[in-house]
Amino acid sequence: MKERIRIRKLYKSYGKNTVLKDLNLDVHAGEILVILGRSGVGKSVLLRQIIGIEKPDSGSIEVDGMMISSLKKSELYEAVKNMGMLFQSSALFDSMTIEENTAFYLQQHTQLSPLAIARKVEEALTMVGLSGTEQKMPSDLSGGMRKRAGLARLLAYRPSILLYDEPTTGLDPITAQQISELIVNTQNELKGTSIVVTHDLHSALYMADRLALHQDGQIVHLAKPGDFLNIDDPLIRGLRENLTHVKRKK
Amino acid sequence: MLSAVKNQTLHVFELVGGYIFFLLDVTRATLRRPPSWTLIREQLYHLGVMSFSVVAITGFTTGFVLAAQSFYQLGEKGLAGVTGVLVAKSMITELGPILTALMVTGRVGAAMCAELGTMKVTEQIDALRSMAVDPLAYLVAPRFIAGFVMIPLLTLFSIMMGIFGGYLIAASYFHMPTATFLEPMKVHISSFDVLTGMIKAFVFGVLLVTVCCFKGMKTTGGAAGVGRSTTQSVVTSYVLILVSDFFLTMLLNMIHMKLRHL
Repeated sequence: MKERIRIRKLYKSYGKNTVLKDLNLDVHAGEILVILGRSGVGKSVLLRQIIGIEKPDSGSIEVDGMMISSLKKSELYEAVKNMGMLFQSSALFDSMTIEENTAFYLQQHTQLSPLAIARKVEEALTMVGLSGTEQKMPSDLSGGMRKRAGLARLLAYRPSILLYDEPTTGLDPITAQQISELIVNTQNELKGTSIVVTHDLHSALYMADRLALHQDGQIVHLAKPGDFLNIDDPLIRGLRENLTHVKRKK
Repeated sequence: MLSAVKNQTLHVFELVGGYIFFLLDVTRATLRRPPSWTLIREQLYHLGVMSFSVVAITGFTTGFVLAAQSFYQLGEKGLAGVTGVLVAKSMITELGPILTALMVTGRVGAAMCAELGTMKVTEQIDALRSMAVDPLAYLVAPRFIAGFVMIPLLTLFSIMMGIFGGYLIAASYFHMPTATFLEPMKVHISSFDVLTGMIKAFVFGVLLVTVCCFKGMKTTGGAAGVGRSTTQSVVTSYVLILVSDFFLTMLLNMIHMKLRHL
């Protein structure tokens, strides 16, 4: 299967705290790769390196053949135009309405007419079940709705690589399931490549084509969901024991 | 003890270096791809138009007090006639630029830092980057341009209000003839004085905007961090404005003296 993201020997430290330590990972075209791990092990840091928000101390990140980790700022902005990220806090611009948030990328990077942009915004908001909230401010929405609005912002410009940072954290189980379904629907709609970082095994099993375990700054296990649960690892065993009924995607 | 001093020194160097690089990056970002007129207009309004009233009141009352003090202090010695020149010269070369910069720092700089700081800690700045939008070009450049344009304009306005305030009290309360107040200005106020005031205004404008934006963009540590950054941005701007005022005064006067002797 074709690799879209290749990560080799990645290191990242903050002061004396090394969070990524010789991390290697390949992400295939068209898959949803879910990275599991305890809180604070550096899963989000990995996403931030992939999309170029932070630079690694050493190692390489290659996206579609482009070496993201060593690009100049202007080249990097060009390279990440095809990528999108849903942040843990949703990161909606709080001085803009939901409509303005959703239209932001299109206004910045395309020559589309206001009418065409409005149509795309409406389409994206409808897909996430938020039509009618166009004029609302992010502060008027609940946590789950903000996550969906963040997703609509991605859907509006249809990036082909999508990164999700803890998309279900802090949500009730029903809303978390809705977000997981939306992520899968988005993947089916955009036919892109997705990386989801989470510590929610229920959602992970629902969404994943492959599951990875991030521990001690490295990807220590990587397998399909069925095989992943059978790996003999104390952390996976612990997760498995807490697993109740999970509605599987496949 | 020694290690604490070393760490503090390193921290200061890191901060100064970071600020210089930030200033260069902002200048580059502004020149390479100037921000849209909509973004600039918004900042011109927030920084400039909304500050006119506070700058007017400050300038007016300062001129008022300056004239009154001059009249009381110098009148006894028969020097009441220099009141107008004293008010104008003080407002043009010192008080106009300084008071305007300090007032705008308090009114707009703090808000600028808090806004950017909140955007930083809530990942909104990262969201901009993830959508291939340079935060320096989108957020800082319009504020930079607004500071560069509006602080000199506000300073001019403050100077005019100060002279008007001074004239008002001199004429109405101390019954000074208009000509006595205004005429000596023609002789004693030079274009160099106006240039000094304007150069200071430009420098203060750039300083206050970039310091407040730099502090905002470097914010960490949630709501408490935003509070901390905001306080630091105001204090640092105040100190830098006052210190740079001293050096600018010395430098500009030295240049002026040299030019006069050529």
